[in-house]
Amino acid sequence: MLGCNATSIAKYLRKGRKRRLGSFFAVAFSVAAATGGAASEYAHDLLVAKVLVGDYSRRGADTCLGCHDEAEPFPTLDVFRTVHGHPAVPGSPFETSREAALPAGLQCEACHGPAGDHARSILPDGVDREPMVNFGDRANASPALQNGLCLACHANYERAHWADSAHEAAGLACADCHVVHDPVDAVRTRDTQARACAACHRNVVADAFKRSAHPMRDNQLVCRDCHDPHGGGTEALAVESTVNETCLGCHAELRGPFLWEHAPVVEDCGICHLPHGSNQPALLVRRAPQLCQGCHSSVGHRSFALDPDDLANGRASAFLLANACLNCHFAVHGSNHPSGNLFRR
Amino acid sequence: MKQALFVVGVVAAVATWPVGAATLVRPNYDHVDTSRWRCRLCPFDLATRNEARVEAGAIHVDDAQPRFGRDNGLDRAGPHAVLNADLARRDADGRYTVLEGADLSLDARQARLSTGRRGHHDIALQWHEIPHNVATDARTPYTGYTFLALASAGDRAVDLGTRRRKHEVRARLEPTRRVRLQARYGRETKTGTQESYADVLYRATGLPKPLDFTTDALSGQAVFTSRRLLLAADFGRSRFRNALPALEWQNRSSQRIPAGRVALAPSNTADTASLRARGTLGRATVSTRLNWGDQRQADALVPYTTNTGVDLDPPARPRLDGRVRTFASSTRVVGRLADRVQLGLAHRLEERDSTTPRLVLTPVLGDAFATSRRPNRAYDLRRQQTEATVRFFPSRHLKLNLGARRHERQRAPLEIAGNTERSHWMAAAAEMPNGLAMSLKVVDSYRDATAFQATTRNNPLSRRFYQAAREQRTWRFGVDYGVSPRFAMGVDMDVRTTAYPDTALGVLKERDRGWGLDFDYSPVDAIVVSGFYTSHALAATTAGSLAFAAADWLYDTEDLTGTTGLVAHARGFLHRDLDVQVTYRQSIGRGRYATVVSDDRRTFPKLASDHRAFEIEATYRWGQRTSIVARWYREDYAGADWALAGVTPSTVANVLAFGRSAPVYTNNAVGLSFARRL
Repeated sequence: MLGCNATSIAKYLRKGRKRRLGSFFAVAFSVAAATGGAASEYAHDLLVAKVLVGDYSRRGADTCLGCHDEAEPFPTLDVFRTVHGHPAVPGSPFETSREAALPAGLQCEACHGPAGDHARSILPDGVDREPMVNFGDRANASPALQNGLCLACHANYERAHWADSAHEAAGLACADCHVVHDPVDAVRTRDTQARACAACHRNVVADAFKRSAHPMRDNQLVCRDCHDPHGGGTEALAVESTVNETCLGCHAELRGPFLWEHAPVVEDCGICHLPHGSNQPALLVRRAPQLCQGCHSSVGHRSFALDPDDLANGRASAFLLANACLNCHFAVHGSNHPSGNLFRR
Repeated sequence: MKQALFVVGVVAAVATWPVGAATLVRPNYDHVDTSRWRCRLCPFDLATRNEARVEAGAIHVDDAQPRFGRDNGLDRAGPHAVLNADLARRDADGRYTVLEGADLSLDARQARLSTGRRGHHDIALQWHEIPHNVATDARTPYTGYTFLALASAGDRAVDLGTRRRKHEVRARLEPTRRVRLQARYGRETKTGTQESYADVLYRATGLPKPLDFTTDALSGQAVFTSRRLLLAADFGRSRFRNALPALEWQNRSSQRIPAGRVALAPSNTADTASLRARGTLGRATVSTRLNWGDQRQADALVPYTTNTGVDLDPPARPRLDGRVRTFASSTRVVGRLADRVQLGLAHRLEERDSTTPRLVLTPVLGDAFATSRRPNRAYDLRRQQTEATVRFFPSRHLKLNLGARRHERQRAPLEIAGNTERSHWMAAAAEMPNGLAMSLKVVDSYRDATAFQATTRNNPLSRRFYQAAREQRTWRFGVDYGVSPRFAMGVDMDVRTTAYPDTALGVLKERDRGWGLDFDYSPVDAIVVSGFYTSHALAATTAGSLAFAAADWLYDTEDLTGTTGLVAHARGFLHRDLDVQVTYRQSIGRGRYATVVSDDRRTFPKLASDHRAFEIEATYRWGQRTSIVARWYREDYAGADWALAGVTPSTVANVLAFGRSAPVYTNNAVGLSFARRL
């Protein structure tokens, strides 16, 4: 049984009336509308009300740590191993500098919201305390409420395009990917990042095991090398301004500009390649010659219907075996040779 | 560019409408009083604790397999040392030094040193090596580096693969709380031997192409951040140098043309500059990003041919002086129109403007004879995308999303100079209090194409699939259910069908189907079992004509992959000192390719990529500071590819192939290491 009910919310509404009650109904409803899972409606409305009213504790973290120590089921003290718990890091919730600008220095309540009545009374057994904002597996608030607290500090360069980005629109909370209390945030560590992203993107994990793939299995290339999960205003959350520029960051040898350009290469690498992995060599959408014949159909070998008779045990066609079309037209990404008009030089 | 600025202006105007708050919840700090906050119970000493961890040991690998050790450095048979190290020093004033090293004894080593003072300045140095092993069974009759000569001793084995070495230094300075300056310099080298082919008058040869690439990248950034405004400026220069401008090889079949020559990747330079801004206008959030790019290359052109019998004047210019300017902009405004309705407007523009000089050339075909004169090929491209989305929250547990997008492409000079694609979608997501979450999204799009203009000798009935008119429909569906606190499961499905209604020759239709399921189960607190299965099928039908007329043959192609993953993690056995993790991964890939000529369907033989891997890792905590880690990893792989099967260097007429085959192997890696916290 929750220790909060409509009376509790009304209490915050009364306080809010003196402050910014006008926005409460709109915001509370909107936030609640986006609420998911089994979060109690009452609890959620109460959390929104608490955050909007701003009823912070009188003693800060000393109030919290009186109960929430390492003996608790959910140990909290590891946060002091991180930048969030460092007193000398500018902007940290535990910053003690006089220059600290709120919410820096708001200690536990910077992230978990104002304490309100959470710690004000001794409750009988079986009665839960007034809720605080929780994150991650124990989240009891909507992504909008959770993210509002994170973005109070982190609305910086990296999050410049977060609003309405793919992950924001999908209703992700920051803490769905990030872990704050742990000294190691798995999604920011190369060795473990792919595992964190795979919680949702399992098909990409599967692609890494296909015949050809970028070196993702061994974390030589990680999701963040190509994608900006916070949204960069780009297609496919690419880290550079276009998909092609993202690819050319590592494959600079294909940048050209070439004497003889190949039109689809200029337009979009994804026309021929599947970036995460393919059942065919070189991350190809289909294998050559079938892929090439999707465009090239002039009379001559480009119009041959190559069939199993042309394999090594039959007529052993040069147009089908080894590198197929690329046996001769190897320079499909562009040629800088004066005789390279057919990508053969 | 003008259009982008116009759109920015329109978006800014829209943003000043008196709409509701875009940021849903803004905490209220008006009544905070921290004057009595002491934090006496805060264990700040944890933040200043110095930590070090070193892991050392050995891994024994059964067999040298390029695919097994493709990217991880375990490409040799026999023992490999294991060495990982992490050191961290953190001071009370926020200064820190962290050294991280992984796989230091392997070809895949990574090391990073970062030091500085949090929130004031940082500097980081990084070293990263990435091997990429492709094949060790390739054979070639050639020896040499940039001139490949036929060896008298016959074929020799050649290792195909590359190695990247990345070095990077980053520095960051935050002179005030609102200003951040950052600079980065990186150098990446890529060396090795790559598989390539080329021909002299239709006689193709597999060439072990040497690589010697160096890319230097320098970038800088300045960012200003305040509560309502963010401004950032970036610049970058990337300089790619190829030490090997051309590759020559001895012609094996004709004394008249003694050698062939191919041009390798030209050295180039790319400059970029960008501006980003995000602000709150009225009560809406507007973010924009503008990028300018300039790519240049001026490598000397190689002669038309090695054939002294072909007498041609050299090209009019000794080098191309190729240049491409790019511009990309992205602007988005998000605002709340009413309590339950959020509106998003976005515009994106990409331009590629080639200013490469026009050069009329007389290509020599196969180093044998001169063809007709023709200008070089350079393309301009313009893509513009405008999107509007409405998110509607009819109830606490339901979210609806409607959207429409118009995507225009213009290209020059190509057969289809422009496309306009109109898409619209509807999505619904429901999250019920009982832990059930469902989502459905349907996207319909239609892309038209401008009139076909024959600019090549392609059959005029054909349409290149990336330019052709198309109809596309995508369905995505997902269910997640937390059955109990100990068991959760999910199912998802993704189907995309594409048809090219105006295409008589070329790709006629495509299907991309995927589905998957996953679960997490924890029978007791110390054991967690997770598993997933995904299936992906990518199919296409392509039509062709042997007679330069209507379609008389078809290809049906389909690539299917089923992937299974299972991980069981048990913690705290043997007096809570032993953790065990068991992992199984399986990826079964099949290519189903068939040719249909006059209703006679002929199916290609096996095309497969079967990967199975099993791993057990046990970690035993031996005292407070020491752990023993034991690993056994087994990988079975069976590939089959009709393009490689039975192909020796001399199998295919007119092709001197590498003769390598699809890999088939079973390999084991057994490792034991000791980890100690210092």
